[in-house]
Amino acid sequence: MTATTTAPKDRSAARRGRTLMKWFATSTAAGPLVALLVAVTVFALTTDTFFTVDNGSLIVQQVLVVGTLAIGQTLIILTAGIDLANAAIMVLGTLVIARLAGESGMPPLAALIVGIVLCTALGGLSGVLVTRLALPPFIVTLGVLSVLTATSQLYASGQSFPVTSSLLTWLGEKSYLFGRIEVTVGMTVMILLTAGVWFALTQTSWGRNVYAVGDDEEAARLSGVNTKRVVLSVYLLAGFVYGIAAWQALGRIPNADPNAFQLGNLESITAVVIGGTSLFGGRGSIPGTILGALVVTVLANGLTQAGIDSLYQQVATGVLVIVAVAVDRLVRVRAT
Amino acid sequence: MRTSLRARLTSWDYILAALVVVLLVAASLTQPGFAGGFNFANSVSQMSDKALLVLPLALLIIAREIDISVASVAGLSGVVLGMALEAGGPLPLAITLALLAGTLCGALNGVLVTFVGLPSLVVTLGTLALFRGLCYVLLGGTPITDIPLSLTTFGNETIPRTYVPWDIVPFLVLAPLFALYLHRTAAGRRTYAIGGGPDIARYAGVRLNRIRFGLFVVSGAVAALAGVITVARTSQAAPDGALGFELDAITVVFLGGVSVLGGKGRMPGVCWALVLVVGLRSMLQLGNVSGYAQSAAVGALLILSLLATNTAHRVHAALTRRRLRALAVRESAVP
Repeated sequence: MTATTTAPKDRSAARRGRTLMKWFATSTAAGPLVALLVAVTVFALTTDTFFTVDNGSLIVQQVLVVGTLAIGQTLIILTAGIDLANAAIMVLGTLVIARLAGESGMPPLAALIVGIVLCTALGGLSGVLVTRLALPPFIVTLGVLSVLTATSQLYASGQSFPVTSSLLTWLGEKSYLFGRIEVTVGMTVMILLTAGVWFALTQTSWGRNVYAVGDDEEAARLSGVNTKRVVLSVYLLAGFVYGIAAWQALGRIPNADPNAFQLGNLESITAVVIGGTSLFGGRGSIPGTILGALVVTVLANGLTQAGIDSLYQQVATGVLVIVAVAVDRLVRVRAT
Repeated sequence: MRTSLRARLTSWDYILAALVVVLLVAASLTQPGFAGGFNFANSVSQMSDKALLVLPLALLIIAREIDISVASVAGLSGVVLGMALEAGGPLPLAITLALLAGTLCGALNGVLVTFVGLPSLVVTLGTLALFRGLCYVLLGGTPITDIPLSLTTFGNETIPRTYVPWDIVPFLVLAPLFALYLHRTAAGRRTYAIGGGPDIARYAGVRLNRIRFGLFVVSGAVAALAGVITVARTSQAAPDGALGFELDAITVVFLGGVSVLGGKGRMPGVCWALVLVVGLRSMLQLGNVSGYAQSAAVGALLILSLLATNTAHRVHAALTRRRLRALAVRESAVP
């Protein structure tokens, strides 16, 4: 009796174990999840201040801007592209919004819309160069990066522009959940954006086309996908996401500075890579990217809490990128 | 092998060379100080360290790899140089240590790319952060300014009775060597073969990983030399030395006609592109255009040059197609 009941149980347990193994081997989000859990556990055990509600909400606030940039970056990398200009687009967006709303006296809402439309258009510019003129994304965005960085510096002429409008800093506004968990509007926007892009990528035919184009553009074209239009739409959407990132950045620090986020492009690529998205396109996910961005932020935050000099953060991030891709590769070699 | 005059004249090398001539003539006519020796020395010296980074990068991109950690390697080597000097080491020993550090950095990149088999863009993105982080860890935030006079002289003076700055000499020595390697040796042909198609190269018996590893090590060593020049030129070993130079170097390589997909590009083209960028920046500087606008001009030049070549290729392909069609029609008309 007991023997007959335990045997199927064992088998189902084994099957469950196998499916878990399979999930680990195939899901792109598994690696960053493990890295995040390890990092959180280590910092929670070694410091008193890390594993607290306040620090938790601080980490989420710190992740907002780079996380948003990384969502746009994920979209582009999924099509086997890369965007070196994303942070430069965002910084120009913050400057335009701040100057229009400040000096020019434009209504904040109009300034915000102009800024977001500008970011979308600049994303579209890279998209047009990549699709219509068949130029490689790496070079296009490298060129756009240097042009836009310079444009921002010239437009700001060495100054930074504070933002006072409550609409423009709205995303940084704080409220308290259950009396003590600090949440900002920016977090809600981030969650909505994540959910929206995730839905579009996984539940719509457009999303399937994005993965198809990234996996093999020629095969997708022969299957009847309008590949150029799909890629262009990806760059436009990414540009829009950078516009939202500009709004997030103004909410976090209400001051538009042309020298801010100079490493934003590399940081967002780091988050995407740690998140398990393949730089060759066609494989990866938005949840992975969010986890990747969290890993980078937790590492920086935890090292500070542990009293380790902030100088080590860049070293740790660099090591993390290499370890993440190495582990990813080892897992994949085992799985196949 | 002889190529026809027309093919030569329309090759990217010659278009770049023509652009350089046009630019230099235009600049000399419009900017009074441009053609002077002082401006020449100043402009060349400013690009001397970036120019070195361009050489190994061109080889790597031709071999379908990339090294975006070069500027961080240069920074780290500069820091090692500064610290060795501060510890009282003699200058030759300090420079040797700096070059050794850079070579080791390159070897690390090479091991991760060839033996572990990771994509070079990701590896060098990681080491870009890693090596730059090490600069700050080793040095803290404060630069070392106690640099021996002989080194700062090398970075700031010209060869006596000429307008050639000392710090461009390493480039002038290395550039022909790199060109010889790429265009006149079997290993150079193999480098093209790897970039053109790694699998085909493997079947043809090319030892891919050996060449790739070698290229990364050379990249590290040359980047270290660039780092030493940066220290000499700026008279300080700073943790943010050579910061961001990788983008300028990559821009020059692409402008020089090297394909991002590998397998294409020539050293003379890359060198012409370098001269073009130096000349353009110098002209704009004399016209009181800020450094940022200069970078924008270089970036715009990169995109425009790609557009131009792309359009030229399309027009050429369309013309060829039309000619072939005309030929086919004529032949079918013959009974």
